[in-house]
Amino acid sequence: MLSILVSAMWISPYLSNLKIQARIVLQYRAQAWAGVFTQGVFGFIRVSLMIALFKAQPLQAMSLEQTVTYVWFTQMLLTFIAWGPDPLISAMVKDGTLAYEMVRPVRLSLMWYMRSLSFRGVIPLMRGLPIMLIASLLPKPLRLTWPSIEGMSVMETATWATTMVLCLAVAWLLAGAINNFINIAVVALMSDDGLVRLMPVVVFLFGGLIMPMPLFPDVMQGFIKAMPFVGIMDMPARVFSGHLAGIDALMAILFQCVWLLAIVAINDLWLESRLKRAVIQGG
Amino acid sequence: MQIEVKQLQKQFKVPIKQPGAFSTLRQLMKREYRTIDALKGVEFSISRGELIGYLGPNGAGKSTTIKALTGILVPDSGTVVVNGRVPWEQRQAHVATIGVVFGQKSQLWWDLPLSDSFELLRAIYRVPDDIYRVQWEWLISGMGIGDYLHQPVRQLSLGQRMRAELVASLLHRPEILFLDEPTIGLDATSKRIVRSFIKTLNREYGTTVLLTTHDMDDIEALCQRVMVIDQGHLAFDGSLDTLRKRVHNKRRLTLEYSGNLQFEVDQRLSAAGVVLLHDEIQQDKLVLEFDPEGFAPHELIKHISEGIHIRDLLIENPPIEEIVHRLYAQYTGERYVD
Repeated sequence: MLSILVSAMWISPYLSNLKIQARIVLQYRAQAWAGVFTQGVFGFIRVSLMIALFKAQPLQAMSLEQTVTYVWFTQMLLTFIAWGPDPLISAMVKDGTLAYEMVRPVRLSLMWYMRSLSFRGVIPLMRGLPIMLIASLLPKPLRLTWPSIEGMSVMETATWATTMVLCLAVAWLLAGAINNFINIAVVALMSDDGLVRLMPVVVFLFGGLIMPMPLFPDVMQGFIKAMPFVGIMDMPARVFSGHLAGIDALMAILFQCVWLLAIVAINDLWLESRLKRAVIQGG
Repeated sequence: MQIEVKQLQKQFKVPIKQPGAFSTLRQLMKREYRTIDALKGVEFSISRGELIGYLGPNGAGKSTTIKALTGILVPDSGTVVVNGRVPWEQRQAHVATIGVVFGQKSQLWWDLPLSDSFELLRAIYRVPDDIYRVQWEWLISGMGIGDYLHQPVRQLSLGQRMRAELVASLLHRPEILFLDEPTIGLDATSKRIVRSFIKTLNREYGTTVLLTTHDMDDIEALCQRVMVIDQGHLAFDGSLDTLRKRVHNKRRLTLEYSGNLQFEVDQRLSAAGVVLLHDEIQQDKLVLEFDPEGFAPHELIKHISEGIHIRDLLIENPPIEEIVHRLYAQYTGERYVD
């Protein structure tokens, strides 16, 4: 009954794509599991760096414990950030398979968005949970520290959990949209090199992957806080540690939502206008 | 008229590299372009249910025309109306009614079984249950792909994949099917299967088919009407017979012979218009071009075999490229130089 309803709905192509793309990702399960190791090792390296940094000069914006927890959390969500455009999109632009996409009665930006979401949803789930588990069991000071639940009331715990889930969900949607922006840049610039390669750098630099956002110099704080990238990992990490709580957490989620809608809209309009001028390879 | 194309024009700008020592550096400052006129005023109409072959040399403008018809490309000027719509203006509504197969590209998901690709296409085109069931039945059995429906596409041979591509393009029961070189690279059996399927599709279901191909056998097997494009102009629009007769009604006889040979086109042969193609001469092999209405093939063979020991022979039409070039030469009034 439900499937009949779904198939008649406007959104059925997009939901179907979400499902199919997830299937494709799951084809490469071995690769996903291998990522647990690499992401774990890199987490360890980053954490060690932070510990060394704090030994030399303890910082005021965040404690060492909070910083280490933050690093582990962003490491779990690593796949939210793309290192480059979707290789399929690059290939499509180069070999002309883009033609097939344009011949489908769907909004392409949304279809590609579904693909981006699939990838960024399945893999963090597969890799993130094991990493979180292991990181929680490491000896101090390497440990990922959970917020102290004993000190909180049931109400507070429930609030924390809800905001956590909401923030993560919107972070996922936002990450997918930003990655889709990079994909569309490939179509717009007819190239997956050059400027397109710079975009991911901006994303993970200001997203908290190199260094937690609060540790950036005060001068840059205003600028960084205005950009959407903090919404990908930085905000969820700080909601987790309790750094962002109550009203602040809700404002953070609102910030994420506003950027999400803006980027999804930009993606759609940008792609549709560029497709009209796209030169399809192959004759 | 289901499809109407009027005065279709399209230019492409291609960057050119200037000669000179510092050209690469200079290109950073200012890019020079040359314009390629892909379409120079193409015009034709197609009625519902026609099966048309669209021919032309590489770079003639075939693909550009198809791209305009499918809504992928916006022309510089001219009009295209398909089923009452302008393809690139109402892209989504338009593409829902057409099917496309690009011979050199794939629309199937490489890592997944065929059935998954079909499932996604069904959702994309929002095909209702009853229509899908009917399409599924006759497509799967008609193209014989039931056996490998659950294999990942990367494991399929080219022939199997092309048949699957054809099925994929028809799942939503389009009114018009655009085929861009669908038999390229296929073996003889696969070609036969694909051709007979297209014929059935057109004859029994009334699907309009526009077929772009370099394979003359495709055209001869399927198309009553042929359109020929060369250098952006529509040089011919009519039946295949008319095309041949009008342009170059010749056959080519390729002979493999044994023994020493000094072959001369004697009086009788040259009087009947038989020509020895010097360019095609190889060791123990020669090619004659003749007019089958001036000299019947069997007579010609009989005549020649009196002078040479023939080991093998082949009679075929001249390549379509040649017919098209001769056609175009006639069209512009230039003399075709042999």
